[in-house]
Amino acid sequence: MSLPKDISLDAILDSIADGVFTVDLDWNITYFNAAASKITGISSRDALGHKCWEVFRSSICDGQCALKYCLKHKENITNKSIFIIRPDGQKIPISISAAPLHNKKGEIIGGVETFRDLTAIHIFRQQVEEKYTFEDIVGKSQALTRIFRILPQVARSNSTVLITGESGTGKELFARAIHNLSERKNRPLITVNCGALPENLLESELFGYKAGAFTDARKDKPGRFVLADGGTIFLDEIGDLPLSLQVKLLRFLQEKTIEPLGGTETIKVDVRVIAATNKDLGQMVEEGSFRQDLYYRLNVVHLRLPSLRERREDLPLLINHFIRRFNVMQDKAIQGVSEDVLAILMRYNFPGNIRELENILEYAFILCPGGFIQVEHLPEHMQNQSKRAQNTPRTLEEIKCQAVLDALARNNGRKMATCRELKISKDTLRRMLARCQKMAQN
Amino acid sequence: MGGEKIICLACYGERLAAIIDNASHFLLFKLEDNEIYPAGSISLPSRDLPGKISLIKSCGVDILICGGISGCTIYMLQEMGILVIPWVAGTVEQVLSALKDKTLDKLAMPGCEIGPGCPFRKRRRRGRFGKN
Repeated sequence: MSLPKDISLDAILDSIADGVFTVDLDWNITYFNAAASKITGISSRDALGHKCWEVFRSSICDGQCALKYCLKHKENITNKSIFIIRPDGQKIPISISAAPLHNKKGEIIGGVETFRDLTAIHIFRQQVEEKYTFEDIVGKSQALTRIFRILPQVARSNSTVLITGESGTGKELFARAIHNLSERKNRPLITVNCGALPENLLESELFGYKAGAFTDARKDKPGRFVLADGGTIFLDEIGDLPLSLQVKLLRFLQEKTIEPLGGTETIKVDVRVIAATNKDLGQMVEEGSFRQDLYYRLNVVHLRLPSLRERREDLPLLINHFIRRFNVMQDKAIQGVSEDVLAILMRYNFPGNIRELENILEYAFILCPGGFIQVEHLPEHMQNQSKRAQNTPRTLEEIKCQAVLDALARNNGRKMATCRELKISKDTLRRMLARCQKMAQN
Repeated sequence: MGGEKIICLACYGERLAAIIDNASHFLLFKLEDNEIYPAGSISLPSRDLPGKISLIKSCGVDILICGGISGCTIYMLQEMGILVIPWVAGTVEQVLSALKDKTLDKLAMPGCEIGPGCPFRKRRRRGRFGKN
């Protein structure tokens, strides 16, 4: 069955949600539909006539081209998962199908590729598998700069890493990013919350036990260290590790061996340790509740994650990130937050850090039917806080600080635009923000 | 641009790679007194991006010229003090010639722009009364 002659093929192809493009035998793009423009961020006018790899910029463009394979082997490819990079620097996961194009004589005259945006599926999968990379860490503030600078080198080394920071600053996300950037990424990442289990149970969970070690120990059970062999173990809340287990962990860090409960032989395991805590381990050492030798063994590479108060300029980016994510997960089309909401969020202290911001936005998503999130969609304590804040008299320094934060909010966190608006230099803004952070901490 | 600079081209075959993740080798050049001299080639056996970033840093690269690149990777490289000039397409020969002539903006990938921070593009003169 063929299409009726009065129906335009362009109109049909432009109406579908999948991207479609065609190339000639020289790999020049000859057709680019509306969805292709939307997904790639490149207009059809810009794309036509250019080499497909210059437009598509995918993970298979150099050496693993699906179209080239189709044309060479005269067969189709379906549902291959790859990613492309848009002109705004976003990596978009897509699935592609490719096929050769023939003329009426049956000669190959080019190829056609269709592709589908997998962003939503990717977000869901990431949520389930918790497979995060450094590209999932949102933020461009000075406070994150040092960490970003050393993260790839830290990840590729085998050194023990200690991550500290307040609750909700993303310690586990960083641990996962380090693991997924390391050469151990194809081996397991095992997470243990040292504060969540009683001492005896934690010991058997970490190091395993032998049959007969205690009542009900009918058969051998491998510990988390054995399960993580070749990979990484993430010890969360390391500050809550009992002193007796601190000795066993220290022994592992020194000798790379463990001894299961009730066992007589040591087992050699190759595991990288990443530990995290929101406690001050240095102070715990002074108080005698944390072993000094273990502290130094863990503290080979120390990453201190800044609180959200110290990286307020990242708020607009983080808000956009969560809105995008919630839109996908809750099938909504919220466009963003209103200026008033942004101003409230910029002033708020976030004792629960990024996790609290996420919860606030999740709450707002429940109440907001569409468009922009308004003040009335925020949790009540934030609405009250904004009213209280309006009535409280402030010092001159606080008023200055507020003006800077408000301007930063108005300019979506863009520092240069804020400087232009306030007619101050970049250095003055930096100094002002540092003073604001200090004030917020007090 | 004062002093000696190391320029790195992220290549695939005879041209720039479509995205830096795919680069099969880095071509290094020395820029001295506005002259460009070859300074070596490094083949990249794996497609591992963090490894490439570490390599760029350890080679003392000052300027990276590449095709597509994620915003996060640009940020990470910039934080290492490297000037990143992304969204460039063309053969190595075309890129080198554009570097000499300061016409790199003409090699921008479709739908992309090579920003005003790039030292290898001529400054556009505006008329006395602005654009028109």
